[in-house]
Amino acid sequence: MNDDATTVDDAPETAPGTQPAAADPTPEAVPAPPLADAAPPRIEAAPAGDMRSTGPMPMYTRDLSAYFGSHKAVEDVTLDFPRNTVTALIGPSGCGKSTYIRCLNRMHEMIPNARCTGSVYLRDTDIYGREADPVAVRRAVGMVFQRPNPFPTKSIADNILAGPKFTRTKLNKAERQDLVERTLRGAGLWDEVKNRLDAQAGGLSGGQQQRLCIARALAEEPDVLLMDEPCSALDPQSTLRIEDLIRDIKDRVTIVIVTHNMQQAARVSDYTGFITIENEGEPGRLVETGPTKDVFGNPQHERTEAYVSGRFG
Amino acid sequence: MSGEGGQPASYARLVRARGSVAADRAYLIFAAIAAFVAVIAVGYLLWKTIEQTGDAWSTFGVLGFLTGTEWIPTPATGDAIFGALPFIYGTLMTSLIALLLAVPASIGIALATTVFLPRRWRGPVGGFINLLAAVPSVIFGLWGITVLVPFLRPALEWIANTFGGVSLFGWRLFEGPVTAGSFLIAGLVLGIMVLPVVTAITREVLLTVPREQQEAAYALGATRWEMVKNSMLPWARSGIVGASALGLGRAVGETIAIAMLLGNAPNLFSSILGPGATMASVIALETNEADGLQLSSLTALAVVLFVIAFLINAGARLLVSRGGTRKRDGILRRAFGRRGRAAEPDAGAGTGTDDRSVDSWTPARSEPLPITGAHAVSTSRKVRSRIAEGFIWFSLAIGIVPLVLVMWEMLYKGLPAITPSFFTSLPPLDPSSYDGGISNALIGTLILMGIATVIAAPLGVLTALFISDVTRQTGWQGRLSRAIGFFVDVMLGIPSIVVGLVVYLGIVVVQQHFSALAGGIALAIIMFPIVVRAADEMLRLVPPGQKEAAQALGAPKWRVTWSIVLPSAGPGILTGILLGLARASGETAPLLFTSLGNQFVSTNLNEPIAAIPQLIYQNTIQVQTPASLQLAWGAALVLVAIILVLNLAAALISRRARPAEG
Repeated sequence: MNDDATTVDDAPETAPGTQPAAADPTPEAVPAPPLADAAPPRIEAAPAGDMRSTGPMPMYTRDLSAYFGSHKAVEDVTLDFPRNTVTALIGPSGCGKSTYIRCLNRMHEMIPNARCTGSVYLRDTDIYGREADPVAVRRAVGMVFQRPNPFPTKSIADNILAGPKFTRTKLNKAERQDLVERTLRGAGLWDEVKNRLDAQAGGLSGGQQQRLCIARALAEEPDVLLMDEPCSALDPQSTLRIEDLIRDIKDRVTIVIVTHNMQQAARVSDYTGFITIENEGEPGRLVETGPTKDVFGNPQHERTEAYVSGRFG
Repeated sequence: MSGEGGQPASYARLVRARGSVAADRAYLIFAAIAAFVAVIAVGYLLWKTIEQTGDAWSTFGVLGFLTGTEWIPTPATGDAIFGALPFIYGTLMTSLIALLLAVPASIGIALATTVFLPRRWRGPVGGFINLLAAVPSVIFGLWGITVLVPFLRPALEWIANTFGGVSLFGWRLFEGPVTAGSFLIAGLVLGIMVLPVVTAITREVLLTVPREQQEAAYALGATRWEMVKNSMLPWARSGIVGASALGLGRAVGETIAIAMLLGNAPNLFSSILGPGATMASVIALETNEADGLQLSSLTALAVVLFVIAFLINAGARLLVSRGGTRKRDGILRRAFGRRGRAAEPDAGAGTGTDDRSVDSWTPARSEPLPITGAHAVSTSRKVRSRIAEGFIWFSLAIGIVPLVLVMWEMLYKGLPAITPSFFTSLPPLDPSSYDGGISNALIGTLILMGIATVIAAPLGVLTALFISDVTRQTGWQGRLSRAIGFFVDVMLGIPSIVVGLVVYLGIVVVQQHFSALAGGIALAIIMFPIVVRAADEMLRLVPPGQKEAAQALGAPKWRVTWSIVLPSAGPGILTGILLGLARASGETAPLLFTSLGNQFVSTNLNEPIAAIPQLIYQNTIQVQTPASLQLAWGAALVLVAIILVLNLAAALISRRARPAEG
């Protein structure tokens, strides 16, 4: 059963590194985010023509709780991330939203004594299941961190090629050049760096570094891209560029973004989840989720309303 | 295909290629093997050593051996008697004298290089004091015998004549006759030797005192000394105690200089102007000719010494690290509450009006600080501050003067010896001849260093990787790697003479011959924990963002290590290797009964081999003609040059390549 497991179902089109990403750019653009679909957050909208995801819900979590030692930081979060949408997670500092998304690509467990319970499904496969390997999971679920962390001494091009290098994907020169250009274009960075691809990435500005990190993650062609407060270390100008970029790339990848900035959540996300801690010492819980305009415009919970209207947190 | 429950359908992308998983596993197994090889090898040698002590315990009993006051290996009549007490006493006495000199001086020097010296002088002066640590023990012995003993002789005679009659419960502390080797001389030199250790750690602790604390005192109108007394010393107190204890740990294990300067007589409660012996010195001087019960007793002494050194080091480490954690405490609380009160919830914190908080600012017994600031600094405060500063400059002199004298002597006596043929010819057979050189010892030292590096560097780095990659895990693997980390710390505290004895018993006795290989292994055992600790520290400095970035891109563990961690930590690790090598290259004690020494050039690893420190030792102790002393000084100069080059290279590398900030 184990041996079969890797080949049944959707194996054909998912072998890493072999996906023709170029097949994606269907220029008739993405269908507008299904904001109109009010009601429950589990949206069934399934725009046709997408080759990357098999179902409408590439990723969803069930009763996910996260711990640091014996301290429970996040409790029972059940949440869906519809394909090719941006889901924002908002909430006050320390509510566990960063912890939660670090569970989505198994980075949480890299912290000593940290663990989580519950399930995270990627294409209906539990990434904490027996067959799933954390290292492989992180290729399928990319991540962008709070502080831009390009490899500072590597060149810009080598940063993009870091993923394939780590996974020992053999690329010839043309393929490498193609990957670098395609990804940097995708991240809106090409025009700025095309003449200095061999320069050290440490020399880029903060905003450029962060876009490079996004590009680097996209080069792996992840199913889902996690962004942990990607703009909190950036100036407003760079922040806007990142937000533009997020809107640009969501037709290629499902995005989960943690943000402190409610305007940002309102600007870039299709869905919003509000996580908060009721009383000190309790774990963070998901209070409300739904299409962004509903969460902001017509919150169902008092706590949510207080938070989005700036009355607390 | 149901999402919930059961074994869900598989998404191939979440499965890793078998080769990749295997590579990760291979990497961890490889690192684990390296760690275990080191631990098991040393464990085996220790076991061999402990086995050897059986005779001594069973003949005299543990308590009988420890409290035995006599050590008579070859009695005129009757059985040989071996009691440890005179040596335990000798070790403690010399260490006590050393600390009486070194601790106050170290505090003074540390304060000078953190507060009192002009800013641009602090670094260079601190570095200069650190040079003391680079001078090998055997050179201090040589200096003590040829310079300090004759120089101090009149003063010691005077002490003996003046205070000779003073007795403390019948113990005549300063009774004559004054001998060349004595507790006082050995203790003084030992004090100079541990000075840089205590200074370096004290300085580090003082540097952790938050700026706000210092400014708080200055802002209240404190003089520099008052600031030090009220802000810095209370903060650093437990750290300073820990630093002193680490100095003590170093002092009890010190061998060669003591063996050269203490006179080797198992005296108990004798005059400190007369000869004595320590555990380390008697092991160094008697092991080569010992067998049977004597060897067993010497080994038992080594075990006792090891246990004492271990307890001291463990206690010291605890004190130093506890000093460090206090950083987390509230700054205000620290500024306004005494240590005992810090536990009370915010005793007067921040208010400054609470009686007790003012009280705690009172510098001496009586005199409150002029918090209102209306009047000038009183004369008595000025005088006190002056006296304190005078003490600090005096301390600085204690640190600098011996170093200058040693350096001067080395250049003055050693330079004439250095000719081209000094490096290419053998020591003269005729001890009064000025011809000859140290080619055998130079080649021998290089070979020994090579063996030590080849063994200790890869094992050390792999062990550090194993510790850093696995310690974070919970469960038995984490516990195992923490145990290895602890073992490495224990190794760090093994006195070098004990390492020598352990290798002697475990390798030389088993193989029935001395060899370069045994000497190299002894040096590797000294080097290994230094490399592990240095590498471990550097691995911790690798920016976590870099590691996270690689992990989030799906890099396997070994890849993260190879592509991210090692390039970032590499220069630091290399620095650690060089520093370990510098330390090992100056060691004499572990070579005495492993590589033994050789009058001729040898490149055979299975034969005895010469080494520079040992050549110095022999020419000083056994030959002692003007010609042989000149050869010794010349060799000392070469040895110090080698050590300085290694230190300098280490410093350059670590300055050039700090781990990049993420």
